[in-house]
Amino acid sequence: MGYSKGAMQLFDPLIDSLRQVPIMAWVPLTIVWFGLGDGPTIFLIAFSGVFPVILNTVAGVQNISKDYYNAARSMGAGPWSIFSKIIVPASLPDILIGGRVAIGLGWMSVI
Amino acid sequence: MELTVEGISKNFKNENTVQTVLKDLSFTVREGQFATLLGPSGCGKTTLLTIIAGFQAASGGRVMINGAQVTRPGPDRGFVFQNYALFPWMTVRENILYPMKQRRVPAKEREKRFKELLAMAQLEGKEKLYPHQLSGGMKQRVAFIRALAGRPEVLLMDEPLGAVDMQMRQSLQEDLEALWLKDKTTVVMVTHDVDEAIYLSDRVIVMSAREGKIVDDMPVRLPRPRDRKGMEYQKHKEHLAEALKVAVGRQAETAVTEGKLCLA
Repeated sequence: MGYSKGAMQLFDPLIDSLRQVPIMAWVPLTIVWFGLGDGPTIFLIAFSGVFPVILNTVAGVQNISKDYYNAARSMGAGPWSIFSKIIVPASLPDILIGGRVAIGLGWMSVI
Repeated sequence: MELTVEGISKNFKNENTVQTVLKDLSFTVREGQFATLLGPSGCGKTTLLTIIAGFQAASGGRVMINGAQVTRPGPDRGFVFQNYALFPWMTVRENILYPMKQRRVPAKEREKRFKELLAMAQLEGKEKLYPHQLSGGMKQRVAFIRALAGRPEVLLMDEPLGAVDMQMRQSLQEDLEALWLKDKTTVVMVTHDVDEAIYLSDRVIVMSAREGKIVDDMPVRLPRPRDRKGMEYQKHKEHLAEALKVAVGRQAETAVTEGKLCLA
């Protein structure tokens, strides 16, 4: 999403509108979906963690300097190499921050 | 190998104004030549270089290498960035091996070439460091040998010494010259520094601020390493300074023709 403008325009409205919904509002819905028990709990924890990870990853990827892509391409890198050797390592710090926030939020939704 | 730039133009369109940055530019760089694009800032020299590299498309004209047109970035054109663009998550070794891995050079040969390059840049023992642990000069040398690692046909350099101070700059120019003399790859360099242009290049192409035309195309045939204080060197310098004045648009075109006569 951070790499492609098209994907950003497609998914951003969906994600932004979903993440505004407070976690408590999902409780009745998830009980309908998964029934009582551990199902809704696990879903909610995972669900609350997804957004910070996505948003931070997108921000991380958008922040990568264009020079790195250009440098890789001028050294003959293909799309897979650009993804695994440039995009992932360059945005890893942001992805990990997203993970940390996600763990916090997950704990919040447990409570 | 021969690099030909044929009638390259570049326009940037804003809402309703069209800004011409490059207009119908043509030149040919011979095998093994060190050519420099010199011009005031904003004359489109970096734009031209990125077009040659294939990072952006031209509005008109074409770039040919050995007679074949190029439109996208490729390993036949190495690029040295102004800020080096070394990958900070890779060690010096990984940075230099990266282009060779992309070209699927066999491991044995890769190792050999790596040692060779490291020795060339006098960076032995630094291969395990990360870019942020290196000094500016070392980064510059790493960037240079990384660009050479994939054995490009042409090396494109965008103000490779733009970020260092005057003293450092001169000694780095000497390093760069020594490195280049060992490899003799064809080079196109962009700079706004007259002294740097004369010290390093075989040929200086001066571009004007308006519409990026070529104002002057001067060969430099002084023996290397060049004596910065020599008579001929100073003459070249004066001539280029004049040409640059024209490039900025302060004087009429005639000044350059006069300058040419003086040199001849």
